[in-house]
Amino acid sequence: MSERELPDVYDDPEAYDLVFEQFDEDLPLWLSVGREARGPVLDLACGTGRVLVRLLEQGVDADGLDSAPAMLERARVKAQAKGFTPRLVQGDMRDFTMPRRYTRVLCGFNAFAHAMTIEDQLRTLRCVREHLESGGALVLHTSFPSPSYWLQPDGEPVQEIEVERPGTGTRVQLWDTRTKDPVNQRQRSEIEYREVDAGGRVVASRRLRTEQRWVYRWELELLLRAAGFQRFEIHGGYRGEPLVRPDQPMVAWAWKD
Amino acid sequence: MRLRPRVRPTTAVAPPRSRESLVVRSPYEDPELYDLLFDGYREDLEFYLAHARAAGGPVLDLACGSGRLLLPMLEAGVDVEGLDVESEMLAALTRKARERGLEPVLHPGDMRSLDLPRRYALIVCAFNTLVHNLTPEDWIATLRGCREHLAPGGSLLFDVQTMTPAALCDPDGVPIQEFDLPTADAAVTLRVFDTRRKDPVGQIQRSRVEVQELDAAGEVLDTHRFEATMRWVQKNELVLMLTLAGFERWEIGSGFAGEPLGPDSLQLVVRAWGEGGSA
Repeated sequence: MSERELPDVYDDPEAYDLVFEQFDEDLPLWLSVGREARGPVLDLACGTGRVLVRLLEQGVDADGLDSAPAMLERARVKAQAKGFTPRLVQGDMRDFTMPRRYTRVLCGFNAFAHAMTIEDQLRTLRCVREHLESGGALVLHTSFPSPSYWLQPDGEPVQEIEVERPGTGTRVQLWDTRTKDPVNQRQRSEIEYREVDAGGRVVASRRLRTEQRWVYRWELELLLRAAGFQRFEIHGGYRGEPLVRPDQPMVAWAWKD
Repeated sequence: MRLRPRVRPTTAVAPPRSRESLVVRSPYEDPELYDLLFDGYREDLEFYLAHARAAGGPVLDLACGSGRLLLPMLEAGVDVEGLDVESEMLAALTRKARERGLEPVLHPGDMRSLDLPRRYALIVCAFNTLVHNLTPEDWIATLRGCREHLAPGGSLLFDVQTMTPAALCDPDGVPIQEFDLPTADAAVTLRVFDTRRKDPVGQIQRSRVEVQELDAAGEVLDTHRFEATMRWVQKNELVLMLTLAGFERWEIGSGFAGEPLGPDSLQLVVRAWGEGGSA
């Protein structure tokens, strides 16, 4: 089966949540961004609502936008279970229209890496800027590979994550088979969700694909400038740490003056 | 140091142990040593010379140094001027030009604040010089100045270091023997070691360079040291800087024979046109 035929990783929101929902070290950042927004917040590429539902629970006036209908539907169900009916819009981050303007737009969990070209990146950032109130800010998390990552060979499955599927005794593993293009800063991934039982036997397997385009620190600054942001800060963590190592998460604040 | 497009190291060697003589802040403070090391570098000469000849108008050699390219251009009848920030290098160039009966127009100045009366059909910036722009502000100021000094249809042509995964994974702080170079009298060989430290976030490479003078028996006669800081650029980032500087069109390859840029290319060769530019 060629990679082109594989479904997108965002076509399987249940598996996505099972393996990724545990990653919540960024939550304090997003909750504080939401609490201090003093106005409406847009969760750009909100996915299944990992951050959005928590924002709603904190009383933040938050909308969500995502391009994947299956992810949005899961977000809607999760929000509804908690008694919320947020505005959830299916749309492309490069070209979206929301009916209101925001004091904060947040874009977490490396979602910006799905903007695959300079044009995609600039369209996304400009569209965000248009949706910001004057004085509002984009807060964006993204990251880029460190030298150790380069040493991992292409085309070989790497087990990235293993989680228990609650109540079943099985474990779900995420295997990533990567093809890296360092000149264009892109990576294609064939993702396999492999479910193994207590005896280590594979009881289920599903293959999906995804593609990412990472950005370096200076490049992110240049993108923000080219998109019209004149004031920005780039940190190396979720608590405003200075960015000094490539294995730190890159968190950018960009204000619309 | 304006390193030549870097050869992948094959051997890591023990740090040289020898008496020290000259310690300089930068290689450009010692044009004599600089010329010993680099004046013989010819890989890019035909490339830049051919473009200068074909420019059809005045040419500016940005960061012309001691004239490695500018003098052959003048001798080929090209209407070329030079600019450099290092007065020692310009003085060396003037001496060399006079010996050949040439009187080039030379401008002392910083490439980030270009302000010259003429407009050029071609601006060249060779030998990895743009790595001395350590911040995006410096880069954009330099590129914008170049664009503003281009005649209609003119272009900027340069080569600059980029970074590859393999080079990024090279261990830091290990002296690497770069090359051996015989000197004119052949009795002395120059052996060049480079000890690099890389900052992958800031895209900065700091080099401590040691140049040993070796006699025929391999004994170290003298050692020269200098330091250099350079900032490498990635292709996508360069495209953004060209855009922000107002360039409208560009071609980015690697090497001087039109090679495409690949995952192991350590060098970008760039031609960029401003308004009204064409291929």
